[in-house]
Amino acid sequence: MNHEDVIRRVLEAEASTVEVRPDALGEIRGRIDSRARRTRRWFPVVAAATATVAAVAVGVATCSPPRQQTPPVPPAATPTTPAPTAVPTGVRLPVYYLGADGRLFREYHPLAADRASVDDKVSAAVTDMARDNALDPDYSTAWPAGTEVRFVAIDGDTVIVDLTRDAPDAAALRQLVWTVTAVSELPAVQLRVDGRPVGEPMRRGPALDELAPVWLVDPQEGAVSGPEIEVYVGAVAFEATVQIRVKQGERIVYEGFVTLDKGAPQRGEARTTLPALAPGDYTVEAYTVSAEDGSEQGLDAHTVTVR
Amino acid sequence: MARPPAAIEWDADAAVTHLFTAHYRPMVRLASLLLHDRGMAEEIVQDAYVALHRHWRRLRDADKALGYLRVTVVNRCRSALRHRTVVAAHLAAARPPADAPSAEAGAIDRLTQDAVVAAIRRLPTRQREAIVLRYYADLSEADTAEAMGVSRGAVKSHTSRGVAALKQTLGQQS
Repeated sequence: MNHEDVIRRVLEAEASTVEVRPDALGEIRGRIDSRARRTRRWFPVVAAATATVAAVAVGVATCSPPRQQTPPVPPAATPTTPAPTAVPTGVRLPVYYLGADGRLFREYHPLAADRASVDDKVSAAVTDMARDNALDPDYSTAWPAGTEVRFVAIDGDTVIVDLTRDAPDAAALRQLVWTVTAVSELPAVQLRVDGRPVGEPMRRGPALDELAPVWLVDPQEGAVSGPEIEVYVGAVAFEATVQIRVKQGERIVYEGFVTLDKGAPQRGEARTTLPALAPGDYTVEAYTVSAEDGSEQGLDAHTVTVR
Repeated sequence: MARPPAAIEWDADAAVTHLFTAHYRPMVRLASLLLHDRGMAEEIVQDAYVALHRHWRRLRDADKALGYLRVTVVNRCRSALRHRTVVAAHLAAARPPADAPSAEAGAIDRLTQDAVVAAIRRLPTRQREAIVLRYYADLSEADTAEAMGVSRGAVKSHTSRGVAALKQTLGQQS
């Protein structure tokens, strides 16, 4: 028996001692229901289902799908805070999506561009942007399904991005320009479609107009956190004040505010650590309060699991 | 297998039910090998199914969904391992009493089994991920790369370094 075979057998033997809780499916459904906060009817699992589990228990191997073209949505892995302007080393890349009002939000996605060159990173981030892979279900992409990156090249301070589809609207171009300039740290983007240049090189427009006014940068949607959630917001806010609220279901478990390093019209940032929370699922919300009428504006909300 | 004919469109609830039936236990076992913490492994896999339900409208097909589950589980295990104190508290309880070795263990005796499991637990996180995904889940290099969020080259080097580190233990035992 060679070493790999021994490792395989040891892992299989170890795994075979792990059993699952008897009502795991009921637990999962309960958690989905409590998140959705509505009554749903689940159809029953037939008795044969249990047998199927046993049949495939020899490994994930048996269930391996054929290779697919589209990588799955990379989930938010950690509550760590990437630098706001620099591309972090490793594989977390900034990708911009549209909020409900057409202004941009940024997420950091773990992408398969490990130790890659700038053009590989741009290619990975743009591919992800076009696929509507936003973690936050409130964010979307303007790019049509099937948009693929043909190639990416750097020419001086311009990144040339050649796609299989043209941008359907200006919002799509804003997504592209902010994503490419953030990943490459170069100022200009020239779009090509099937090799042909489209328009002139583009640069970022004013952040005040193009970015959503409040970003809850961390925690990202779906993040898993320790009891003390670390919050990082970027915002344009009157008197540099951003409200932070944490809910469990509809129950408010924390309310407070942070003071940004710069007030409107500049975009400021702030970090804070919330008081410890019991394990469970929470929604962290960041928003500003209108100086005119006291209404809540620019709400950005992410669900977080505290362990 | 649990993959439906392409014509069948699952809604999010049906997807969770079907993917639970086919993949839940293997996923918990996978997470358990990555974490060496059974209770937390099961929590993480349940989280992944809840997340899958939320994202179903973007995933829609069973192949993508399985990839999504795997990426989510690997990432969350990695994230949980960073909270080392939590893991340390669970470690004592993680290991079941050494009863009869399972049939699959075949020729491998209890001592070797325990020594290799302990050695795998001591590997750096990425090496352990590569080893478990390649040799337990039996994924291809490409699927392993996708699950870990790294390049295929990185999978190769993590795997070979992991195997090299385990060889010392294997050598002593055989």
